[in-house]
Amino acid sequence: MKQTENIKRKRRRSTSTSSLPLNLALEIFSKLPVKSILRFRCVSKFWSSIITEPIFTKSFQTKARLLLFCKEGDEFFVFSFPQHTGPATPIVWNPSTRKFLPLPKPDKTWKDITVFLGYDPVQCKQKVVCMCLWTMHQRVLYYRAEIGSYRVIMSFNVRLEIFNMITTQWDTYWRMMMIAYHGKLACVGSSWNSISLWVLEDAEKQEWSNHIFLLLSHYDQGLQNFHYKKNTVLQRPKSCRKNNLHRLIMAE
Amino acid sequence: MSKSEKKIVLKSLDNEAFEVEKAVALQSQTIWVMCEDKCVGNEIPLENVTGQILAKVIDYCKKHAVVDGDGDESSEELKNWDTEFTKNMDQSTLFNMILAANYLNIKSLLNLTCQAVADKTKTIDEFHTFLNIENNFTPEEEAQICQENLWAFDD
Repeated sequence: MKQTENIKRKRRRSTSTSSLPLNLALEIFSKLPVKSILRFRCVSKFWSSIITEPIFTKSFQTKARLLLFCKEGDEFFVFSFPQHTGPATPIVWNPSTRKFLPLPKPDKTWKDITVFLGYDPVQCKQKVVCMCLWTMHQRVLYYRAEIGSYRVIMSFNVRLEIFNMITTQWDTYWRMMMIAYHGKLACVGSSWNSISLWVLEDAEKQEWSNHIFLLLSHYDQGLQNFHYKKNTVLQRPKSCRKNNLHRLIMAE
Repeated sequence: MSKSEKKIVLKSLDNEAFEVEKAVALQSQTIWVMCEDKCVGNEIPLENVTGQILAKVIDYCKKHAVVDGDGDESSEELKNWDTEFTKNMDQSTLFNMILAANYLNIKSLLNLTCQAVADKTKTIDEFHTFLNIENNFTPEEEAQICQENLWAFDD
């Protein structure tokens, strides 16, 4: 049965006598290639709107990632990594629908603002979060804040869109680096003879555990750029610019 | 377990009876639940499935009951068998297979048949016909939405 495709075809009701229940029609629809799905948007209002509905995007097998997009002069760049900094206005690009969404200015400027795409697993939606200083673990974004003279860490839950304040238990607050440690927030910092690792064990109860490691003599430079990778805390020394050169601080 | 307990009779909408191994029939979650609940005897009436479709469903279940759990080679063979199985089915057979797989709750068969329809649905008209959709766009709206997704019409 070969039928010719014609966008301007006349209105008509199909000749089939019965139709599939919606869940089965959706099952078929979700198995179509992206191109066909977009092509079939013209078939009816329902099928046009369904492709942006969470129920459909969730079931869609080849779930496309949202990417960040920016413009430099006449050239366009698309980034697949989840952060982008710079004064250019970030544009969210959906590679499946090939649609662009320029983000509205969060405050006065985009300068020094990091844009992050967070996924809300309940509403099945991507959310854009803009922050000055942050680190992100387990769909919770952490950043430092100063309330009066009181220094705290703020958490922002991307799913619930709720802010929380976490008090810290150490003095050398601003020298601490925030890192991801076993899916938890951890802060690493150094004093003259030791490295201190504070792990946020329970965000709700604000319980921190503290691990102190004695410093070996050659780790006496200032500490920065901590990463947690394969059960190891790594540090990139200040003097070293290449990404692959790290010092091993702690291994488990 | 005696020989008779291993067998089960499935009766179609048009009263066609199929005697099958219990292991074959139990791939259907619906039948599995019926047997678990002991709400049926050895004969299970399937009021939503015709004999013609039920025969195909049983073919599928037989094939999958034998080969499941074997090595990679047989899973490759099974895949080819699945492709052949749906390859020559016409639209109405596929339509009824989907409904039967859904009613009998055989997830892999539902996936297979839905995928077969998705693979065969290339044009907008085919999509309209198969899913029996009424176009409720005005011609202007339709032209606009097609225009927005113009790249999807390139081949």
